[in-house]
Amino acid sequence: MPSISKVQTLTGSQVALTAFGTNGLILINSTAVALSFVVNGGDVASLPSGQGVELDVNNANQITVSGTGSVSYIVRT
Amino acid sequence: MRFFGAKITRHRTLPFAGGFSAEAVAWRERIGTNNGTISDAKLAIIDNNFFKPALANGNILNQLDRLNIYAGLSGFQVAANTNLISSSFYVTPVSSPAFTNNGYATNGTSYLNLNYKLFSNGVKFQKDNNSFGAMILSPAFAVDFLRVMGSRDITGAGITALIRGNGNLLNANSTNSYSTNSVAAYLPLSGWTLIASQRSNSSNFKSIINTNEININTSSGGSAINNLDTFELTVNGVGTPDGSYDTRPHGASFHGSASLDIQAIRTLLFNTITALLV
Repeated sequence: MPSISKVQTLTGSQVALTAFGTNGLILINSTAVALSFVVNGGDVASLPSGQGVELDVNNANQITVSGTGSVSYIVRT
Repeated sequence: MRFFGAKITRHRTLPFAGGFSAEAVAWRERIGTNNGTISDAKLAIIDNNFFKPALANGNILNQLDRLNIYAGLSGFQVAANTNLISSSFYVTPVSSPAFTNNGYATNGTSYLNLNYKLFSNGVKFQKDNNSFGAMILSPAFAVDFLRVMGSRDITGAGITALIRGNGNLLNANSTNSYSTNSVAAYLPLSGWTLIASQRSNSSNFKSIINTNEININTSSGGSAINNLDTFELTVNGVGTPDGSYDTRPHGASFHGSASLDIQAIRTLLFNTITALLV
C-alpha cells in the first residue's frame, strides 16, 4: 500500500495536523523558510526549508506546525 | 623448500578455465556454497559486462562492500541473492517479493533484507564517506512516496535512506532528516535508472539520478549511522519495514565508499542488465 500525501495550510500560529493514522509520518517543509513543529506539547523543533523529518507517532499523539504557506506530510502506511 | 619472511607486494588476477575472471569464478563458488547455481552463459555475460570491465576500471571492485544483480537472473535466484563482492551479506527476500527477469518487486508487503548493517558491516561504507543506490526499472515520481531502500534509527536519528515520489527524491545520508530534491528537470525516466546517494565529507552529499548529480549542503553535517539491517523495496524503521513499498522492479543495488566511480558502475550495471535481458 502506498503512502498518502496530505497538505496543511499554515497560519503563523501552531496548527494541528490531522488524520495522520497509526504508523507515523514524514513532515516536509516545502516552504522557503524554516518551520517549527511540536510533538505532544513538548519542545519546539525547527525544520529547515527543503527538509523532511520522519516522526514515529500515531493518532493518539498531537503534532502542531507553525509557519507561513503550506506544509505537506506523508502518512506512513 | 620453505620460505620465511616472503612478502607479496603485488597481486594480479589471473584468467581461469573457460576464460572467466577469478572474480567471476569466486562468485560462482559462493553461489554454490549458498546451494545455488548459475549457467555458464549467464556467468559469461556478467563477467564480460561487469567483472572484467570493473577490473579494467581499477576502481569498482575495490570500493564496494556489497553488490547484487537481481535482473536477468530468472531461474537463478540464489545467484541474485549472492553478493558479487564478498561471501557476506546474502540477501533474504521477506514475504516473497516477485522475482522475475526484471529482478525483485514488492507484492505489496514484501521486501528484501540485505543483511547489511551500516555501522558494524560497513568497511568501504563509512558515515562521511559512502555511496549507495539501486537500479530501478522506469521509476515514476508522480506517485505518493515510495521507499527505495535504507534504514533509520529510533526517532529518525541516523537515517540513511532514499524515498521517491510527489515529484521529489528524498535523500537522507547519515542524517536525521531528509533533503528534498525536485526531479522535474530529469523526467521522464524510462528504462533502467540509477537512484543513488553519495557522501564524501561531513557537510556535503549528493542525490544521483542517472547522470544527474545534485549537490546537497548540510550545515549540521552528518549525525550518525545506524546499526540496523538495511532493507530494499522499503526502509527498515527501527527494526520493522516502514511500508510504502517500492512498486517498481529493482535490478541491482550496492553499498560502497565515496570513492566509488558512480557513473562507471551505473554504466556497467546498465550494460550488464541489458545484456542479461537479451
